[in-house]
Amino acid sequence: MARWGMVIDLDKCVGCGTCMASCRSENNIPVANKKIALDGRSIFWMDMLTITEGEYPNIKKRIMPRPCFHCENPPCTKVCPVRATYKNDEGLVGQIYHRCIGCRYCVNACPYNAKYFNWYPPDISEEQKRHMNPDVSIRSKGVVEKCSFCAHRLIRAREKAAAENRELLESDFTTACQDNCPSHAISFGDLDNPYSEVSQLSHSVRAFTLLEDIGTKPKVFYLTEGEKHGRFKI
Amino acid sequence: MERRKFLKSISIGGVSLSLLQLDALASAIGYHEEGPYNGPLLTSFVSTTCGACPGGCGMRVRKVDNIPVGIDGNPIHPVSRGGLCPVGISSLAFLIHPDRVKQPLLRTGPRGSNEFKPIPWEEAENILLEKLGKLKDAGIPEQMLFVDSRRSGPGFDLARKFTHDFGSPNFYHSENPNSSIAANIWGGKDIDFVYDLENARSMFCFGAPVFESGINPVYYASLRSRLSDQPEGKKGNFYIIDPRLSASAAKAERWVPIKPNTYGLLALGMLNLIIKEELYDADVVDRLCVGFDDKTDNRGRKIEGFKSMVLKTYIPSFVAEKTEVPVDQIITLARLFATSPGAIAIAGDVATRTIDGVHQTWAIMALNAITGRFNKPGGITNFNLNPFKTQTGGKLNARPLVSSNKVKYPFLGGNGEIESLPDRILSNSPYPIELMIFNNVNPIYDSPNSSRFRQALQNIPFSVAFSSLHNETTALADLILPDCTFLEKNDLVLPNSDFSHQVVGLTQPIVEPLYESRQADDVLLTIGRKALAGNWKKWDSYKSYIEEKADELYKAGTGSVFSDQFKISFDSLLAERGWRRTEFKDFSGFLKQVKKTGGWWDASQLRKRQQGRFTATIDKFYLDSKYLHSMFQGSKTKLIDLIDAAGLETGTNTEYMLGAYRDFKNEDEQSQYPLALYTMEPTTTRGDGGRLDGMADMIGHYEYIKWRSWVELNPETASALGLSDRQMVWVESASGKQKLILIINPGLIPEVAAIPAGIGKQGSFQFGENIVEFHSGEREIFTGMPAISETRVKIYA
Repeated sequence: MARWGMVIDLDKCVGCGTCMASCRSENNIPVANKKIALDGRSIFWMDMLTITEGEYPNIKKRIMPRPCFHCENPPCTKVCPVRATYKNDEGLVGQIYHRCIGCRYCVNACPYNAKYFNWYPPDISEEQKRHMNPDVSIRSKGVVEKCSFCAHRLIRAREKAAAENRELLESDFTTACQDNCPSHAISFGDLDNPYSEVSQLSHSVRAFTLLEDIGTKPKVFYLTEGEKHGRFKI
Repeated sequence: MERRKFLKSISIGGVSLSLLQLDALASAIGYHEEGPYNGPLLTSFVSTTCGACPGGCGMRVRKVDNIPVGIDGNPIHPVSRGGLCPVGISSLAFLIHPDRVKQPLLRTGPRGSNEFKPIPWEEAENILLEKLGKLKDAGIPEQMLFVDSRRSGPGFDLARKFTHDFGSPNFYHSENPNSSIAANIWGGKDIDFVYDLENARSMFCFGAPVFESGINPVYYASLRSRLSDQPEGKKGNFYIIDPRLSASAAKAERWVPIKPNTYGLLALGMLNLIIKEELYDADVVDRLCVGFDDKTDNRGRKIEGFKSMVLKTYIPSFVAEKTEVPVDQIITLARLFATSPGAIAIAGDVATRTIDGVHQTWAIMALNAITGRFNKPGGITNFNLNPFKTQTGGKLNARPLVSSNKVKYPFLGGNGEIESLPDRILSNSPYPIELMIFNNVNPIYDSPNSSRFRQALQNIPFSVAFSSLHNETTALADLILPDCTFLEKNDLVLPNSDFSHQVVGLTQPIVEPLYESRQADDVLLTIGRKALAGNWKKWDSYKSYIEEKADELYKAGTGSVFSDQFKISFDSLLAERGWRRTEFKDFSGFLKQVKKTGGWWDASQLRKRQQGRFTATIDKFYLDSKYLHSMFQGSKTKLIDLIDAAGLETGTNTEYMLGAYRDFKNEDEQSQYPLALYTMEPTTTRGDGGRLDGMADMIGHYEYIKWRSWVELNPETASALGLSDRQMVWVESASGKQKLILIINPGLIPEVAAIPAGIGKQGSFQFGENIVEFHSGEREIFTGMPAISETRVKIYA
């Protein structure tokens, strides 16, 4: 059984935001209109964290893509009173929209702010609906949603492999953010396969996870940029 | 269907429920609520080329039951290599944009009142034919003027041919000509130079945050990824020399903060060090560079060479004072540039949008020249990226409204200069313009000269605008013709990127044209067949025209369709030995493969370059002003007058006009408007990105700003002005003022205000303000291109 994980190379990432946009179109995330956006209720399954440190001219700016980390030890599943959010055998932390009662316990429990509550019904016209991804359902008001590691693509890949009468290959399953990243900064695959790219990169000396000390064991690893940042020193 | 109507339809139809009604039943009981679409879910992919900006990235559109539902990058496209920018990814939104022009519209109310009536296509074509016929009959065809949004390619050629066959020399397009004019000045001839970035390793980007506002950020991102993959010691580096710590600067190896508009000066400071420490390539300088050493003229007078001039004038302490880049950094940058293998200096678009844009580009290129980066793999070469034969139009009798001379002053960048048009139109010189056709251009929004354009449009007897979206320019047009979006078009596109090989991307329709839209090129062909002489009857549609162009590629027998890396290497190896693998039996097989993969490119050039073999070379680099002086021969304008008017210091003598530097002497203006205005160009505003609601939510994402414009200031500058973070402030220039939210950004050089461009576009999702309104009319001294980077502002609460 695979254990799906992701590695984001911050040295390659150029902070363009394509992962955010491709995630949004792949997963039918409704675009926030002006009111919703100004209320701070925009939904980005893949968000971009920006951190500025220091003062001019000795300044560093970090820009990090942030999907759901699909933690090995997810704080969100533990607080869900109805088991609408759960971790499956392959390590994917899923969300069952129809079971969700909108209590938002999981939103508060997630230390990475990766979960989003639908405060408004989706603002989607009939024309837009026609051009949405038929593999992903549209969430209604009152439920929590988050990055699924494009789990619908896994289902498709499994169906395809079964139709071709073969085992599922690691390369059959890719996420939308990984596919469209212009700098190929995102790798995705089986962390348990010692020969996979993600597995090897996740053991690199450059690899780190966010908030390691709280014991959530995220399955999204970052590769550090090293000390190449900021203003130029002799 | 509403429930009541549905029940009624059942009662009328009795018990015979048709399939249609079953579908209605499904929708009435909310069957569609679950997913957006229910069908057999047959998936197909169409390869096409993104048209959201001129970058020309490859995309693969996923269709389910023939409905486009998603866009991915085309992994075998040589420029974008599977990547896309946020606007490209979101471009299905253009297809169903609420502001689409749905049918031909004829103006009924006064101009600008937005009162139009829908008319059928036949009537619209007849109106256009009648207007053209009148001009032709009166013998004044030159009074028709055509402005196109494209810069090259078969469609561009056809539009130009249309204008010229009609008898008008007035065909223009919008492009920044500063860099190409600079190339003609330093090269001594008409030069199409390209950076061979595929083989370069360290990019010194002057005024170019290349990962977001370069000509194709997706290409630079892919380049960065490939350079990072190299083993230790061969990894590439990006040095972003820019006033703002943008996402690009943050992600580059080094960010060098610099005072705006002093990029050329920094290059000259680096040259000083390189010459002093003898880090330049003496052999190349000897063969390539004109005017490097001191010499004696016929009369025995000693003429100072470029070397002495740079050593005397551009000493690092002086350059550090002007550019605000510390001396130690200038020294390190210079040494790094001269000694890193595969280092190349790139002049960004922002660097050239100044009154001395040509000077700045020249200085940055001089860095490349004397360190021997010319005619080398990973350097700069003279190469035409257009593989097509150019269409020539009929013989022209009249002079164009704006001169198109590239090698004599006044140079106006070939046909690239549309900024002079409104003045000529308003002054009716040399003749009036009766009919103006805009093909997907929006000068009323884009041009720093927009108020003059507005006046010109108000005064023109008749104007026609092809556009897929309603915009500021269509609002003033007399006839609006609904163009297709790029997702409904047939075309062959030459990507405008810094990729140094011939690439032709195929654009194919992923859906039939929506509403009553028709591709503008098809309309031109229809009009051409009816009204023009020449071979217009040869093509029954634009599709057949581009198929003829594709045949040209097939018959040329070079290059290959896009394919995976193994095939590319194999084909290049064969081509090198004079062989060619015949993949296709005939043209239809070739065309089928092009449609499947998304385009054609000449991969063999890559190998030639890697081995240092070039067909076209650059044989001169003028370091002195000899050639520049010759360009001014016969002109009433004196070179020295232009230099003086711009407040440029020529250093030691007039031999080195191009070595002039800015002294920012205009103290009066500086005290009134103390801050330089820096234009940010986020990736999310590329093309019409600023008109998508999806991008409105993302444009200020890194600054936590949504759906609005903002202004950034350094904390020190803000506190000196008594302003605080997220406060509403007035930003005022000599030509306009706007109220914006202030963001304190410690990653911005002091005394500079930064504002994003590309937003404030009229339409359903309008937000923010148009930065162009601040521009107060400075021009580049040689090309007349608006110098938007020269704008100065003041900020107050």
